[in-house]
Amino acid sequence: MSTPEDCARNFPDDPTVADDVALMRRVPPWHFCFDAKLGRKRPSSAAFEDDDDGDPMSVYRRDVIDSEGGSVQRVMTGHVGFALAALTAGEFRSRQQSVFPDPLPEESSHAKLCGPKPESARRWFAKRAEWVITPPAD
Amino acid sequence: MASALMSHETGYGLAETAIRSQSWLTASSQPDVLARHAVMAAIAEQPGAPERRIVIRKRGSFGPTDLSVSGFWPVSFLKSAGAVVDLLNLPAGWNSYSAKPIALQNAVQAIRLLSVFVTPNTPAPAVVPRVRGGIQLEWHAETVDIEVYIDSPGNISFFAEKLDTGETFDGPLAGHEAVLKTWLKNISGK
Repeated sequence: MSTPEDCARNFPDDPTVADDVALMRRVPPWHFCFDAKLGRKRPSSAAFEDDDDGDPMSVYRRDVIDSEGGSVQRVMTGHVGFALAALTAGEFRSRQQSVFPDPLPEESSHAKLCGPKPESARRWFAKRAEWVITPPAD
Repeated sequence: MASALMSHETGYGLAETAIRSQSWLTASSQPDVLARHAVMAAIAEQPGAPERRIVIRKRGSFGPTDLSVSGFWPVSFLKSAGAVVDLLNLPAGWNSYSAKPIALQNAVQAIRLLSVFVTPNTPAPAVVPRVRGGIQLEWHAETVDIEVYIDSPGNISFFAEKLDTGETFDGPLAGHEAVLKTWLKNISGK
C-alpha cells in the first residue's frame, strides 16, 4: 500500500494543500526520546510509521483547524499525556509522501500520508518534527 | 539461580515470587512491589552468581516466559529491562491509531540484547514500542545516535551515526554485534 504507485492510485496527493501547511501527528508518551544534542525531548522515529493494517499514517491539517476557528487541542481529546508534532506538507512530500485529505465525521482536518517509510525516512521525520503541543513535564 | 526484579499492579511483570526468593536482598529492598528502584539498586550491587534468570509473567496466567542472562546486572540494564516489560502492558491501539500490542518474543529478545550490550558504563536507552509489535532501543548522545530495531527475534537491525565525522552504520545486527559494541563504547562513560 505504500509504494508510490499504490499511493498515486489510492491516496493521491492533493496539490491544493500548500507546502507550508503544518501536518500534525499525535505522539504517545512512549515515543518521547531525550536527545542530548537538542537538550530536550523529541519524537522517536517510531512515531512516524504506517498502521499495521496497511492504512497510511494519519495526520491532522492545521490549516483546516485554523480556518474553522478551532484549536489544535481538539485532536488531543481523550489522549492524556500525548504530545503533538508537526512537519510541513512540503517536508513530507520531499520524502515521497502524498498528502491525501481524508476528513472524518468527527475530525474534518484528518489526512493520510502515503508513501514508503523506511527507517531512514522515519528518522528524518523525527529529527525535523517540531512540537505543536510539547510533552508534559516529567 | 532464579532472580527477578519487580512486579506490576496489573498485566505483565517480572515475577514477584522470584523477588521473594532472593535471600540476599536487603531488608530495605524486600518485595514491596512499589519499591522498584530499591529492588533494582539492591540487585545491581550484587556481583553475585554468574547466571541469573528473569521471569516475565502475565498475572493470572500460566506458563511464564523466562530467560537466562549472564553476569551481574548494571542499573542501566535493570532500568531498561523494566521498561521493556512495561511495554507488554500496552493495549492494542496504544498510539491512538492502530498499533499492535508488543509481542512477548520481542520483549524477551530486547532483554537478551540489553544483557549483552549494556555495560555498567552504558547509559540506559530509550525503550520504544513499535507500531507492529516490535521494540526499538535508542541512544541520542551529543554526537552519536544509535537505534536498534527489533521486529522479530530473527529480524533485528541497527543504525548508528556519528555526527561530527559523518560515519554511519545501517544494517542487520547478525554478524555485526562487535560493530554495535564499538558504537556503544562511544557513548559509554569511562
